Amino acid sequence: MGKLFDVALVFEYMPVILSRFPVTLLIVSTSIIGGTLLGFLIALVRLYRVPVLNPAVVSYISFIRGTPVIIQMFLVYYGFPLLLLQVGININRWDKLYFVLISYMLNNAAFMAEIIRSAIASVPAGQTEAAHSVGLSGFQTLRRIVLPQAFFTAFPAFGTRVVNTLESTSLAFTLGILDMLGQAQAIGVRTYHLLEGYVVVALVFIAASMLLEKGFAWMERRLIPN
Amino acid sequence: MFERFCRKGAESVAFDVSCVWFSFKVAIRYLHVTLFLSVIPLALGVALGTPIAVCRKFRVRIASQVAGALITFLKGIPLVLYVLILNFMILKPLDKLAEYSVWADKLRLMDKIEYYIGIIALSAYATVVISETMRSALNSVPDGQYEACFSIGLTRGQALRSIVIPQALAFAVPVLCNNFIGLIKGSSIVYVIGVLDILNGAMTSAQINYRFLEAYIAAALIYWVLCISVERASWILEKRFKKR
Repeated sequence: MGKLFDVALVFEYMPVILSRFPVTLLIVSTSIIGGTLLGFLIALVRLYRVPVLNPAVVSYISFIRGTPVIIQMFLVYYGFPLLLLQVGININRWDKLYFVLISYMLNNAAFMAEIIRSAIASVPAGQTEAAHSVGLSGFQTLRRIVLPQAFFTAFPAFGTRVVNTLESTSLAFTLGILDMLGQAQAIGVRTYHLLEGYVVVALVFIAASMLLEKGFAWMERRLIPN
Repeated sequence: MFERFCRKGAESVAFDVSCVWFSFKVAIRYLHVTLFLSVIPLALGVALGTPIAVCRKFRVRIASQVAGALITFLKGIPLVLYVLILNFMILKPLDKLAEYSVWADKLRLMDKIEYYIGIIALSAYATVVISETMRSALNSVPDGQYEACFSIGLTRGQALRSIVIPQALAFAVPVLCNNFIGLIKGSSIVYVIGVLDILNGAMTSAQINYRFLEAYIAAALIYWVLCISVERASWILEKRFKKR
């Protein structure tokens, strides 16, 4: 092999690796959207202390927060088909990407649930009582009084979570997904130039996470009074 | 026979709890590797990250700008890239040097070299993360505290040691515990360069009996217990710091 690091190759690999960026975006966006929806339901279970479900949800959140994402991903990859086979659904032929999407969504659901729960809990009880006293129903109170206030508390944590998710999606290549890192390794295997590919991936991640951070900081300033 | 397989004829069962136990026993032997891979980076991260944070807080000339720019960049890089890039940057030059010197050849073929590379990569990552923790901890102490110290004639070092750091610690300890949990979980990533930690240890058992799901469950249980214990310890520490 030739030189250890060739700057020209960085520019050569850039477009090829960048063409895989949508895969990363897909994982981030589905897991954030799906995770928030699922997380909201989980947060409601915890807030209203739904019997039976509540303890299950508590240990689910603890499990997700206490184990590495790689393991969760492989658990979904090996466990999900087995679980669905019990009810007669065969998903052995599914594309690997679906398993990655599901595992990141399940992962984010736990984190989002904690963010949403603590945000809703931070709204003073007096607000709910006041809403009830003017005759709003339980759902109306939640939708019109509690959630808008909770949104502002949750927003900064939500932004941090999105940036963290972006970074953790770099692990999808361990399952054989051809994302940016998978592409860099494919190039490395072919040309023996691994480092240049890694540098490209690192640069893209730096740029993307900086953009996201700046974007969220800007939105925070715009959205939240004071 | 029983040593190698969890159960005779286990192939016929879709999921076998005894295989989880088998993998668990194999994986727990590598507990110390995961602990070293997270405790050493934590300690190095605190030792290196704190001076960086102090530098940035007091706007030390040049050093603070360099550190600030570096950390804003390095913050955006995922941990797995630290591991892969450092693995490459340490091993490849050694391969080349091996032609000229004997010690480089010895070093690259050294036992457990990937383990040390893992520690270096995790430490670099921890330094970046913890310097940010320390910076926000220092920022959590209001400026009035410094002014009060200076007005009664304390020097900057004295003010830091006796007034600011005790207050900043109360803020930093829970966040550091969170960072520690992140490092325990993150240390599993070194499996991409072949370090035998809990995750890879569990995998070796699965390579014997093809029980991958059971092996991953066993590894997950160990990580879960580890993280829960750190979380519990964090609550105790937090209470102690709040009492003061």
